[in-house]
Amino acid sequence: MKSLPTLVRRDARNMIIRPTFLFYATGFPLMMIFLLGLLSQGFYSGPMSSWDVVAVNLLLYQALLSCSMSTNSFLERTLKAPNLRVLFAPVRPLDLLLSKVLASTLFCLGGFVFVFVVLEVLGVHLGPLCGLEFFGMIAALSLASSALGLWVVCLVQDESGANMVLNLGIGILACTGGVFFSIEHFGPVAAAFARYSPFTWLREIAFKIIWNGGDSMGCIATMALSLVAAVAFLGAARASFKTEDFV
Amino acid sequence: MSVFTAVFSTCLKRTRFLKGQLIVFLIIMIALLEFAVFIGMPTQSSLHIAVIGDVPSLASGQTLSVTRLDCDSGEAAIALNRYDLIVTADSSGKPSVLHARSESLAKSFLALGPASSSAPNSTAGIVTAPKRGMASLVLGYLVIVILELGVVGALLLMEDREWKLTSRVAAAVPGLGGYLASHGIFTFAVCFLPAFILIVAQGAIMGTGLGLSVASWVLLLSVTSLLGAAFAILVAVVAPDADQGATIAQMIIIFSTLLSGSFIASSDQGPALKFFAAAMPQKSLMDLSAALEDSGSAIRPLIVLGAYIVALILGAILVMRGRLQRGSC
Amino acid sequence: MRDILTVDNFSKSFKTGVAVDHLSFSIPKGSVFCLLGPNGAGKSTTIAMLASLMPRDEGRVFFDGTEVRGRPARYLSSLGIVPQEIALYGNLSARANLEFFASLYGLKGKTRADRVAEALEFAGLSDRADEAVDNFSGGMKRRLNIGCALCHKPRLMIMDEPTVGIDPQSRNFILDSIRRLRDEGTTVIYTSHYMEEVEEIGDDILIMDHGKTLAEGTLEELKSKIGDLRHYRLELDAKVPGLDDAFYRVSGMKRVATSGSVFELESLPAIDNVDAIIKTASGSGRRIVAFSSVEPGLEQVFLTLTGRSLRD
Repeated sequence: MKSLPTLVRRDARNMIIRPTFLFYATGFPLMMIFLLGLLSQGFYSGPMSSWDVVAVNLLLYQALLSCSMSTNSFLERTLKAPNLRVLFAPVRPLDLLLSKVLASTLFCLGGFVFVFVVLEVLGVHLGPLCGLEFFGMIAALSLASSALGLWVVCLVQDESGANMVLNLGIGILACTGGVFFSIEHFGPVAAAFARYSPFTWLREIAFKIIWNGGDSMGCIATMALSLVAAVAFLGAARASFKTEDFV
Repeated sequence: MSVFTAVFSTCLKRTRFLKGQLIVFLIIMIALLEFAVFIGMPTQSSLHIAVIGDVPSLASGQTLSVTRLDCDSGEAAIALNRYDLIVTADSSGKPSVLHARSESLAKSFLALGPASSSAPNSTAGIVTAPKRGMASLVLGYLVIVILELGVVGALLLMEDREWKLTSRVAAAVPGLGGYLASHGIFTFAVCFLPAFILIVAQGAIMGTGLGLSVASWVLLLSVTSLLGAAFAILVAVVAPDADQGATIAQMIIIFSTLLSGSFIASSDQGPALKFFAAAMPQKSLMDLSAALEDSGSAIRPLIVLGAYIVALILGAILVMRGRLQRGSC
Repeated sequence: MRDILTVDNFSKSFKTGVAVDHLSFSIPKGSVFCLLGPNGAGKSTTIAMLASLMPRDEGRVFFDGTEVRGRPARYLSSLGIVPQEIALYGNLSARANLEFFASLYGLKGKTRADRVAEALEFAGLSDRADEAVDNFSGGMKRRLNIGCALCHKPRLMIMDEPTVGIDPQSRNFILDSIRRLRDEGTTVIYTSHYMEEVEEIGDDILIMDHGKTLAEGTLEELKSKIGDLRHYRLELDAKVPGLDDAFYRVSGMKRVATSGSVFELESLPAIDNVDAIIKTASGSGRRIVAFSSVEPGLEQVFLTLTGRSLRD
């Protein structure tokens, strides 16, 4: 446990000094929000603008894509060997894995803080108190997603393979959950897919928080479930991680 | 010629290392194709209204979907795109809009007013999303995947450069024209073949024409694949390594495709958006498919696309030549 | 002198086969112990088990008389491992890399700064300390790779083929560094498939192949295993199939190994058969390019034990 702060600092710095990671956490979501908001400009107007809707959808999507950060920070080509070298020292494998989850989450949260500030300055409505409740939800989801990414990369033992699986799965859930466009009205089958997509539930809670005056139960439940999921995924990652497979 | 065939046959052998990515994109392509076919069917309601209380003049029909609610589900339901409007009856029994997706939609709906009792299910005059032909719809969804497949095909060239294999080839042969050409044609094949086979299979299995003849689809997909291959080859000769090249290329493809409005059709484009959309080659692809569907003139979009493709190929050749002269292939 | 490390009956199998097969050895304190063998002999697997990175199917290890089970912190703190792969953060400086790995062993503050400075000096990188590792040559990276295993002053260094793919100057630097470590009292386990290096620095040598010990001892002890045979090396200008049979018919010839157009011959010292060897070679119709008497070394030891060259 003593090495954990050292490991987290190193992992976080490894991400911060990489322009690609920084852009992915800050510039990319802002550009996507701007672009999709622009494209759907005529669809919403009045008290609710297209940016208000698109921002929430894409921030939820970005939160679940935090898994890419943990896979990259662990087994990215140039980081894999020095990361695994840590195990030569008296460091518990659990600390090595936990540091990746914590560093990825902190890094993504830093990105989200930046994005939230920019969006608030531009007048995008993210809920009361500058979107604090919604931010809490995003933070918890980001933690769970980082842990999920770590588990998948321990199973697959390859960063690009893990990213492919995760991006595909999350992309499918995002499409069925209405992040990019709604499929609820395309018949009963599509409506069923939409109903059972986690993104639909998350969007519903988020929009109720922001536009219906709150959904504390939904928010607390999401955060609690995310924390439980994060612990479960981390445990699964520890069980799947065998040093001999990586040496 | 020997360089061309040697490199091309090696690319074919190396395809097995790309099979994971190719399978993923094939799955995405099939899903998008089926989705495009599905939403192209003229069975969808164009307006979704939630009604609180009793508004007898409103009833579900071909173009109108009405859902009765016991209580107001709030703006969240509008944001979720569950409903376009949430209405209730005012004291005189006329519909009164509580929440609406847009002010213009609310005004258009209220303007229908009592006329809706004679044609209760008519939503004529309410503009929703523009309608595209089946081929344009299919191409609009597939174009992003076809362009991404170009990046997958060009990964071999990116790896060659990263592992200094291009330098070895440059040391062995007088020029790199055959080398680049073989990578370009391989990448074109990776873009074209899956899309063409799927379109033909869709037509054969499901009996849907998908809006165009086979010859027209060959033309459309060939131009799209040429564009994808040319862009990917340019990125491959410019990028410092495979990871960065793939990331940069994918970002450019996603942004430009979204901006062009081919993937998500924009209903109300401001002048800035129209300008940017017109500048994107994907917009010209949509114009070409629309022209082929409507039997209109395809000359202008073909010229624009031809210019893009030539510019990208020339760019790749010039960059490679510069690298060869500097000895930094 | 008590042994610092004792390995008893190490065994490890994978799906592809047995990697280490009942391997046992002991290492005296303050010596350079070399594991020599071709690629796939089981050297890296042995190292991974010693470093507690890979569980053993069988066997025990004793460090300073105490059995090591699992990953005890005291044991790992006493080890310094130099992996075969260069395991450094490329976009960080040499100093930052050293500081990070030193921190993992609990070093901080002035102690850490001093140890980092010592490691930089040891690696010959004091004047490049604040440059990014990506800008280093292969040899410099290898030296830093070693430096990162030294900051915590380990009692036992394990170096897994540390000179692969580097220039001769860096190679000599590394070998000199190993001698310096030994002189300072550090025990070194050195794995390699280059017998010249092992001959140069090894106090005790274990030759292994297919996971088994073939021979163990000092260089002189190993050379004595191949007896007093005379060793010759003959090269023709082309391959001649069947010529090795002709050489076996030469009086006193004990062993003939062929590699292309090169023949390694071992002959009884009491019989003067050089003329007969040359006559047999000339009789093949090919030109003799080179013929020399070879001082027996580890290559010949390996050849005698296995019937094939270390580099095959």
